[in-house]
Amino acid sequence: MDSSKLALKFFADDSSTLTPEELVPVFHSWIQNQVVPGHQLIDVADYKHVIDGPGIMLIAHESQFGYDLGDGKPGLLYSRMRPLEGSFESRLSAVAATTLAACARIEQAFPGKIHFRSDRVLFRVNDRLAAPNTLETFKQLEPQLQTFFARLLGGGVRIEHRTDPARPFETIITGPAAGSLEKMLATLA
Amino acid sequence: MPLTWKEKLAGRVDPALTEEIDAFEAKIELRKQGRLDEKVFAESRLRRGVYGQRYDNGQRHDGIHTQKLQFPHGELTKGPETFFDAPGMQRIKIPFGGLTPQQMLVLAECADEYSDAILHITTRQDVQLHYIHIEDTPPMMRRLAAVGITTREACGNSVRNVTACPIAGVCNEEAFDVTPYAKACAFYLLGHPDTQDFGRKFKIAFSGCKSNACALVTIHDMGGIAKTKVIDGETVRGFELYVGGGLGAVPYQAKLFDEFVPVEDLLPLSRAMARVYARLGEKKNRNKARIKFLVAKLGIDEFKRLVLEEFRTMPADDSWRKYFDPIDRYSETPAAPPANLNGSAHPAGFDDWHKTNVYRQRQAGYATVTITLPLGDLSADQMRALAAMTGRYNTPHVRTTVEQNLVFRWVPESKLIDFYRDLAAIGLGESGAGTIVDVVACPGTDTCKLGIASSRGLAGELRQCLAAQAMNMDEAIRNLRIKISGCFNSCGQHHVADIGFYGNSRNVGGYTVPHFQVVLGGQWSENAASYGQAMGSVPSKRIPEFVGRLTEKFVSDRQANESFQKYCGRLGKKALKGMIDEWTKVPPHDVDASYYSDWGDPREFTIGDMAMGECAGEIVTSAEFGFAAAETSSFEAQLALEADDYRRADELAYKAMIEAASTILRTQLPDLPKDNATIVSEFRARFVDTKLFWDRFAHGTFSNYLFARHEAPPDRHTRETAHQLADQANLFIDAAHACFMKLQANAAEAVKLPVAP
Repeated sequence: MDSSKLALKFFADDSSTLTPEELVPVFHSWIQNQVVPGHQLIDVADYKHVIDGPGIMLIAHESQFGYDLGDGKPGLLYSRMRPLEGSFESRLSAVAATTLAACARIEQAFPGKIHFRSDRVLFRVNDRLAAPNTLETFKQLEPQLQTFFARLLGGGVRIEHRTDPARPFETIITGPAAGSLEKMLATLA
Repeated sequence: MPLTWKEKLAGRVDPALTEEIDAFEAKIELRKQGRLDEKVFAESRLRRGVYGQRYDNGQRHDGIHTQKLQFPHGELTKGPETFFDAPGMQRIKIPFGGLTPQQMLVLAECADEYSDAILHITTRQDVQLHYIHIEDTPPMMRRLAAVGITTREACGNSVRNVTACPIAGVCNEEAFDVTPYAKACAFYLLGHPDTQDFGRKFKIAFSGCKSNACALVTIHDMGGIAKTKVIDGETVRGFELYVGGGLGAVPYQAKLFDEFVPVEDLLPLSRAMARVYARLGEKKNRNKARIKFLVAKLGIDEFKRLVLEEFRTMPADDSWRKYFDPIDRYSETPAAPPANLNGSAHPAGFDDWHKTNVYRQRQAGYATVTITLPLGDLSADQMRALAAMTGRYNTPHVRTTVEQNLVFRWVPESKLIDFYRDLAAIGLGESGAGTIVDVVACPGTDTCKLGIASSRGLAGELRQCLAAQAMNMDEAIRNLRIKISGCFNSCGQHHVADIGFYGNSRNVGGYTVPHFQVVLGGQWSENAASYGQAMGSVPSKRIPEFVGRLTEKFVSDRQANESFQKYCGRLGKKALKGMIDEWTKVPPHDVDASYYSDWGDPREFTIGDMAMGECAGEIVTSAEFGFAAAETSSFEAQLALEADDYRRADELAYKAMIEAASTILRTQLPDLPKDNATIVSEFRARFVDTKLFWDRFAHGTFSNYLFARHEAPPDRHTRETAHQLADQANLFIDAAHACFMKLQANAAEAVKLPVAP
């Protein structure tokens, strides 16, 4: 599977009290300081009026960061839009590293107000050509996802395939709580 | 597994469309290699609906500095001042707003994969996707083409999306269903050789009746209102045909071309009109190139004579029959049997929703449901869920609306409760369609290159404030409409709203403050029969309070059943202006900085740090006096217009422009002579020829308003000419403000420059 349009979402835990609009000035400050390596940060898009929608987005040339409200479960969704080099694992690793670093920055910006879960991750491939949402794609990717997320989350993981064929290929990965974003980031080093 | 969408969709896309998209893909490659001129490429992509977007000139003010954006293709452009890699917008034409479930699914897929997972419905029934990379557009076009959607001529100097009433075919008042005629017109003119040489865009709309607003015929370049006539004992169909309408900076009401054009003549007559427009329309000055200017220049009688002559003499082309002949066979049949709403208990919110969002079709037992989309947005997930609902309720006929909503037709009334529950479950169960809460807004500064102020930010704020009061709102307020444009170009259709706004800015103490011009009393009904009047500018942050006060006053002061238009007319411009003046004050920056940023955007609304010296301070003071004088004259022009004194309105509007020009001229010529000829000549030499008084997009349009009036005063004064000059004076003053701010910024920049030893 050679698509780069990989997306990961780390969910905010239930105790988080952050409202989407609080992220608007934070994302603007990220643009001011161009804080994300390898990304040209461009603009902030506000879709908080769309229920269960993409929330507040930070648009980069390479990808999009969103405090996503999908399924009524807020979290930081990082969606890669432009090509990445390397194997599937290295692309996934790069996407995970950028997502986790963004989560860590948000936690730092709002101490005590938001905490991201380390036991549940959404993985998506926004590319129906390379990865149609079929059992075949799932069978092809599952072993690689097992290996990658077992390392990231620190133990055996369960991968649930969301099979709606109209949606992009999507899985929910659950595993033992890895503990912290830093710990997960360390596994990617 | 196929490597490309082209391979995957082989055999499923019309070969002609494949060829067009292949050619476009090749042009992208040629442009990347520097083998295709940027202007030629720009027109090619625009004709495929591939637009630029804000910040695509490679820079963005981040609130502190102007940042240069770094892209992989470096300085490569996709048009003048438009970087190749910069995110862009894709406009997708949806003729008459009609969508099939399959099209809805593919649109959602495209939003997921190439955009930001949001679909935006426009005021012309299009769908727009934002933040798209140009290299993603060919595969996206192929996927859309595979379900019968083309983006061809969604932009550029071409026939744009053909719009129509979203309730055509199910309406209780229509003469007949205009849907198949709109569709035939859209596809007959699409890519037709006679529509390829326009100086500007050409917009067409069809309405089933005269009294409602659904299609807004009179704001279009060409519009048809369905009509029947008994000829020799037989009822025949035709259209009351209008031409030369348009909003834009200065709105024009369409002129009646013919009271009854038989339906058989519609397509050939459209072609004849296109040929006359292509032949005689302005080509060099795009700001004078819409057909409304040609109609105004020739007069409707001469224009009609030319079109009818063309109709009789143009080369034969029977291709229209291919589109017209199937019309007789057109029918939209319900997939589910009709049934009336039974006595089941209504869930919370249902009754309000039913009151505003459900329309009883003329076909007994069926309803049309409007799905209120906040700011015209829905997520890809919501679009997918709606597509699934079309299957669940057997309602495969969905349409977009010019009020940025979606409409489901043929819903059996007995299913409405379940339908409502399903909508609410996906966050689309809001009531208030077509009411004051259902605020319409163009993209504005969120994504549009031309946006001056945040129309969506303001719309979101108003929507939130008004929704909170909706339950206790007086019916008279509830039924008003608010429409907002980010600039004077009217994409938010502010001229036809009860309460309209368009973005501008004002200088306050050396800072640029976002404002909105208030336009009151536009008429939405009767296909947008009359336009509102500009009343003055209010700081963006004060508008929610202003709307609250204005609507309260309306309810307390209105006479029995008086409409808002009549109320505005009775109060008169002076009283309304007085009401607005209460809300124009801006506290100093150090007292309340919130006025100096726009809604939803924490960045300071400024073009750079200002450095104010003593001298600049004096200029500001005298300039403020000058602008105040110009605005006073402009206001008096509106009063004269209201009093039907068109000659005086014309003179005052001209005076206002002279005063605004003098104000900025005095920054260079403190002892400016007072005669108009010198003022105009100096203004031209010092500010227009030097492009200091120059809009990046409208170019010299605003200065031309002054020159045209100065050089050719009208020999006949009519309401229309006086109204247009009064509107032009307002725009000229706005442009003078912008020019003055630019002069100040330049001066500040010069102060900061290091001095050579």
